[in-house]
Amino acid sequence: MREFDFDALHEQLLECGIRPDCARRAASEMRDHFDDLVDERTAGGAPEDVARRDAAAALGTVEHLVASMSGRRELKTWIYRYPLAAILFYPLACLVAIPATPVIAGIANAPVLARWSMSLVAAGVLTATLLLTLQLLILFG
Amino acid sequence: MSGVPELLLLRLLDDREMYGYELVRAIREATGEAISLGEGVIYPVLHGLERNGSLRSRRRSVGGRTRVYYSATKKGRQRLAGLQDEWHRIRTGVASVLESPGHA
Repeated sequence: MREFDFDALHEQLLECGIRPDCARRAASEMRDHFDDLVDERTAGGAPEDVARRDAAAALGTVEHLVASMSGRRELKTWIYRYPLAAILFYPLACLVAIPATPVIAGIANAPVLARWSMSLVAAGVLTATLLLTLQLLILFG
Repeated sequence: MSGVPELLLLRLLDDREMYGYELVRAIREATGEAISLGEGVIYPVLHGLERNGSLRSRRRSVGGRTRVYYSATKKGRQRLAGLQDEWHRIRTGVASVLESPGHA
């Protein structure tokens, strides 16, 4: 029997929607558990390779562990817990939020925006005046 | 019956903090090997109980290994009391059926 694949466990937990912190910790705890099982068997006189094989068998399969974890809704990310919200309401909320954000930011920073606007208007008037003066000088100078 | 792993884990963790492997062994020993919770059961239940606030966890380094120790919270003790009541009701109900001459 192959040794238990903890990386595969971690990946498959993430794939079925388990929260990343929970998946990482589950894989780490299973690794510690495996080491404890190996220690228990080697302390009982089993050779290292036999102990590791037995410990892997005692843990079961990755698929079984993933199925046990994924059966618990509270361990999943919110997207998997509320798929309707994720598919429907989240994009709708984004559609509203994206155009609304600059407007809200503008209202929140109105004095700064007003100062910038006034500066731009003043710069525009000054440039236009200079250009007009130059044009008049060319025409009548 | 689906609450049995939760009941056993909360009962053991009500006494002292323990880690996963320790809990599997403790349940096996305490029940005379009548109940053996597999690794596929124990960690999802522990994580679920922690998620709903019944347990708290902390990492401790013991013998060169970092272990995650779990202990019961106040909410966990309340849940344990509820599960124990439920268990007593089920046990009484089943016993009354088994001991009733009409159903034997």
